[in-house]
Amino acid sequence: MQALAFRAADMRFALALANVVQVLPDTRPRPVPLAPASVTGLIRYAGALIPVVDLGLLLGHQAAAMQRSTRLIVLKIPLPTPLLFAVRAEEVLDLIQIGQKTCGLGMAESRWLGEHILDDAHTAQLINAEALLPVELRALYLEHGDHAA
Amino acid sequence: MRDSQLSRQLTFFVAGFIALFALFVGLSGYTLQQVRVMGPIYEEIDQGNALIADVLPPPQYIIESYLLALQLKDEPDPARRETLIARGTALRVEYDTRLEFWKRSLPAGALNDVMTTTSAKSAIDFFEVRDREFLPALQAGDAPRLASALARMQQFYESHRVAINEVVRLSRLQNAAREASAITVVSGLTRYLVVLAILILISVVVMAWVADRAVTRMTGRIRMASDIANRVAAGDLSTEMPRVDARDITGSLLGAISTMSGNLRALVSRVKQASIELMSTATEFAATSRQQEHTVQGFGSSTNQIAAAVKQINATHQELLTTMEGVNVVAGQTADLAIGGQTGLSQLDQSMERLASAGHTVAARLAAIRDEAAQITGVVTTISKVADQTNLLSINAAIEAEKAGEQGLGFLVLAREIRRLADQTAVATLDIEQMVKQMQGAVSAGVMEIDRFADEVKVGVVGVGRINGQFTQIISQVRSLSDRFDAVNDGMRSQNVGTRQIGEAMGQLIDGARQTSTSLREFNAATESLRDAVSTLKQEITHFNVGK
Repeated sequence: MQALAFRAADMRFALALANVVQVLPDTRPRPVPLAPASVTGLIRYAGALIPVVDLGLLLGHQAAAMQRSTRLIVLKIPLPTPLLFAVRAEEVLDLIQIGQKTCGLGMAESRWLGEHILDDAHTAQLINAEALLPVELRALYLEHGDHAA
Repeated sequence: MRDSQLSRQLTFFVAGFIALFALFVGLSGYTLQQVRVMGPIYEEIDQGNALIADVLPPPQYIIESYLLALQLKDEPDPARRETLIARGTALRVEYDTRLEFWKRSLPAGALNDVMTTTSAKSAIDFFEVRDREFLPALQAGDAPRLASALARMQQFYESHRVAINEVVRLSRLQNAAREASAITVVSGLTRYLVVLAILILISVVVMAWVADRAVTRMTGRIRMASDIANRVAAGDLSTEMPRVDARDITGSLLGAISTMSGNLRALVSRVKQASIELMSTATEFAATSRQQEHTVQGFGSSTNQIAAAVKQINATHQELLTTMEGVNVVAGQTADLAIGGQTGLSQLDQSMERLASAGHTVAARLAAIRDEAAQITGVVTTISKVADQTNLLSINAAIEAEKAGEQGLGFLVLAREIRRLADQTAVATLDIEQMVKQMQGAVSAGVMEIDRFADEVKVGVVGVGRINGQFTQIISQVRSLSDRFDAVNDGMRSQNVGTRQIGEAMGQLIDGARQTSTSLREFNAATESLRDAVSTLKQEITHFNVGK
């Protein structure tokens, strides 16, 4: 099983490749008023508007800098109705093989933070894409699921 | 107590004493007068005794006359008879005289009566009978008549004798009474005298006590005055005078001594103050004169040094004259060198100009390099953008290949390779970017250096111009030096004369300083003796203790 390793808030994280749709260069999103703090706005993708979640902000850090290496990773989660959204990361590193998983420390309040992967010399933490969207945002998506599809 | 009072008291006591004493003297005189030999009492007693003596032997005149009458009766001789008759007449005269005396001298009284009347009557009767009857009968030789006359005479004689006995008795009684009265008088007067003597004694004792008290008090004050005077004499002026009643003479003496001591204390204080001031003045004098002496000595030595210096100046002048000639020569050489320098400078000026233009050229070239570098940066940016996009593409390709499974494996390898190349490109562009940045920095620094160099060259050109001007000045000044040197030579010659005159003046000055030093030394000695005198005065004054 493969995962995409990337860097956010100066840490190494990984997302299961099954959820990854595409990696895009950083573009300035359109801000959404009154949206949750970690949601920086909406971008155009494949003829639809998808929300952008900044992992840095979500981790309680600062937003990823506007650099050439900054990427938007488009994810797709198979909820009752599949939905798309993008995660903003500082740099996409490589495709890695998910081998040995260790539990590490599980945070009860942030289910989206998963197990740790021992990859060569580095340690990456898996991010559960399905739990990543803020609860209120997911609720919105559920209401307008047909529109997102 | 006051003097006047004391004097009055003493006068009073003396008057009393005199009065009492006079009384005493009078009384004792009176007493003595009363009882003395030949005094009235004595006289009375004596009179009494004399009377008794007069009359005690049965009255001699009468007895003798009676005896004569008896003798006459029997005397035949007429001559003898005549003698006896004369004798009888004389006796009667004596009796009359005596009687007159007693009548005169006896005081009136019983005795006088008995003596001058009773006894005298019988006596006179006796003499009358004798003269009128007896003697004529005798003359006539009438014997019967003679006998009767004689008988009557005897009768009178007897009665006279009785009267005389009475007189003697009375006189004895009177004498005894007088003696008793004399004893009474003497004892009474003696009592008075004793009382008087006691009074005198008391008054004398009181007087002596009062006088002693006054004298003791006066002596005390006089001793106090004497003590204070002694202390003042010994120099202790700090004694405070006791307050005394100054109305008597000792009080005024103490007051006068107090005033004297106060005045003396004030005087001594002033003298002390003055002596201290005098001392400090004398010390200042001494210090000043010593300083002056030092100054004069210094002045003398300075003058000596000046004289030596003048001599040295003279010598130096000679050397200077020699040196001036050398300097003249050197000045000529300097002028030549300056001219050479000026020529060199104009060449330097030209080189500088060339340098400045070269600097400008270098700056222009460097600016061109900077522009080129900027272009390189643009190209590198493009390359890095391409590399980034390639990286993105390769990742997406890898993702797609992974998702394609078995069929995408080859593509995955390709995508990985592309990504590696893109990463290498990115690293290389990063290196190039770094190098271009360093180059740009170096070029900028070079431009700045060149600019600075150009500025310095400009400053150098200006400096060279200024040096050129200065050289010109040097040359002209060195040329004018020669004339000045001549003037200096003349001046030095006249200075030589001047220094010689200074030397002479210095000699006179040294003599003057020596004289001043001598007189200052004398002044010092005088100041020392003044100080000695003042310290002696101070020492003398310190004998006086003026208290606080």
